[in-house]
Amino acid sequence: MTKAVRAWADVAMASALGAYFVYQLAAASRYPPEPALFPRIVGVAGVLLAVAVVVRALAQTAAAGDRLELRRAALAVAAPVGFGLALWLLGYWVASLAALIAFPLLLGFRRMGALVATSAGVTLFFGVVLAYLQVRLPRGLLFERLLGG
Amino acid sequence: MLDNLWLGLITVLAWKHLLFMVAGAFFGLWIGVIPGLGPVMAMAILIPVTFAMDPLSGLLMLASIHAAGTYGGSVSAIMINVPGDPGSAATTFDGYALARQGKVLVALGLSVCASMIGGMVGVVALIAAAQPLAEIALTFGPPEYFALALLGLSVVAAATGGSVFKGLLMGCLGLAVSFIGTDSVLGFARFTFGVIELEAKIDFVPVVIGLFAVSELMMLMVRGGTISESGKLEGSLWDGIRLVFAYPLALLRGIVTGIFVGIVPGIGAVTANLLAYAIERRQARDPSRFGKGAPQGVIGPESANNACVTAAIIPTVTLGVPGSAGAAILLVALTIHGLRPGPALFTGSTDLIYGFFVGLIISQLLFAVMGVLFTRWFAVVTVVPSQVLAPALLVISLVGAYAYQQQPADVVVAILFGLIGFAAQRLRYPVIGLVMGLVLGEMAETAFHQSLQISDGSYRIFVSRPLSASIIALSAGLVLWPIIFRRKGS
Repeated sequence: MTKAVRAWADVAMASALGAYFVYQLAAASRYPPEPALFPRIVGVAGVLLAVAVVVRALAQTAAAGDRLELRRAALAVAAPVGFGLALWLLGYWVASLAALIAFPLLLGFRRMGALVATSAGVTLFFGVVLAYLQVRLPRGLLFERLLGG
Repeated sequence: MLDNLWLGLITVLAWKHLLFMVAGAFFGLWIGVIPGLGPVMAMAILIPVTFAMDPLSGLLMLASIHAAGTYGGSVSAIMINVPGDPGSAATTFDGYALARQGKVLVALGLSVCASMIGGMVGVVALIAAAQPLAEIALTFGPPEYFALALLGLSVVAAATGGSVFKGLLMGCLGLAVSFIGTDSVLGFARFTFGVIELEAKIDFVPVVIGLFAVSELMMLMVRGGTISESGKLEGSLWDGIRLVFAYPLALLRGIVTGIFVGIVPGIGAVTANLLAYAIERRQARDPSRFGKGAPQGVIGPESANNACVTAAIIPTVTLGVPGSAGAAILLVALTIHGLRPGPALFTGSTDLIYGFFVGLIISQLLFAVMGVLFTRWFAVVTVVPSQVLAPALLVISLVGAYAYQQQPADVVVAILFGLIGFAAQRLRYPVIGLVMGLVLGEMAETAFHQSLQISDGSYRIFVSRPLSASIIALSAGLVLWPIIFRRKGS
């Protein structure tokens, strides 16, 4: 990331946080006095601090960081979101096994035998441990629909 | 006192008690390592098992789980930057930095030794000063609790390095997240965006998993390679253990912080751990070493969380007021067995209560021995290629977030905070401030409203009481000092 990009990213982050505090102040104005009081105080402080950070970010550029490799960064952001969706749709067993095989392949790991064995082992081990701890594993929306109807 | 301790030692050395303590320490250590499944969950799962046991065996097993689970949380915090229990959040900063340098064994040595000493001194404080310390904690009213919350946020904002404004902004964000859900004063649903699940409030376990685990695993995917950047293991466990004694003041400060936080009900090991880190950073001659593998950054937080866990038992057994969630489960176990906390417990059930105290010391030794035995197995994780490790840990972390309360919404929260943590890490916003704000938010708001009710709406109550005024002045000083100092310096 270049200095300029980092500075603008800083501005964007502080602005987003400031916008949330503005929302907090607006929403608190519709609440009764007691539940609204503390959020109002924190909201005002949050807006002021966000403005201070934005001003500083615009005034001075931060030190340059290391370059993000775009493909890896995109995958890093997509991985948790994708797994969350898969868990919701397909359930623990299918989502975990699929994620544990797909993500290493996308990251460039090519030893298929070791990958399949590790993925199956990790999925099975945690499935058994969680079942033993009486955690009801998610079955997935698709399977629940199929089993339900 | 010594006669009672001797009686306690004889009682606790029965085979069945020792067996249950070993089982508890083993179970607690491994559950503590898994993100999301902390010692409190393990204790909650096993509490029905203790119904059929004699009271001392049951209490000792639960206490062993609590001690070992707290240490187990630190193991994953050091190895993979994922605190197994939120009470180890600050251990990630320098523990994980050491792991990335290939010195995971040194970090685990620091952790096991500091945790054991912290826990043992916490037990000694429990034995020696249970009643007077609990009376000090009772002098704290709502204004002092509010001032303490303010102090926690100020210390973190001022001492985490980088911009104080960014630290305070993250603290405010943590407070804002703590407002989401039903408020503690009127039971009014706030900032829920119409989502019913959010009315139950956002728990800090999925938030911590998101901020520390998901975001770091995203960073690991981007970075590639192995956690240990050299791909090798350097140093040994004994190097870490020896290093603890090279920093006796860091150890002492961590223990005092842990005991102080532990005796005040409702604050807990998360605050002790974060506060001890912030104090160490502030005390250091060269704060720039923090976050890069400073031994004090592991010694302070690790001794603090274990000292806190044992000190939290002080108000539990003397006043019946649990100092933490784990202590609350111990209180339930005491009550189930027909034992009432208070002075009568020390006179009427001498063998049980002193057996419990001696057993607590043995449980610290047990988790340390197990920690040493299993360290090599734990350490291997840091030389596994990130292409396999990061996806596997991502799946485990998010499934752990789900397993905590079996709520799919917790997975969404963990992912959301993972993305926030990823952005915050890239832009050098201290995520520790967010966690502190979330942890202290409800306590701060409740104490704020209670104080205003006491004073008929006058804000002077916060500065008219000497203790709260002193704490607030200290907080203001901590925030203003770096701003003025840096401006003069520049």
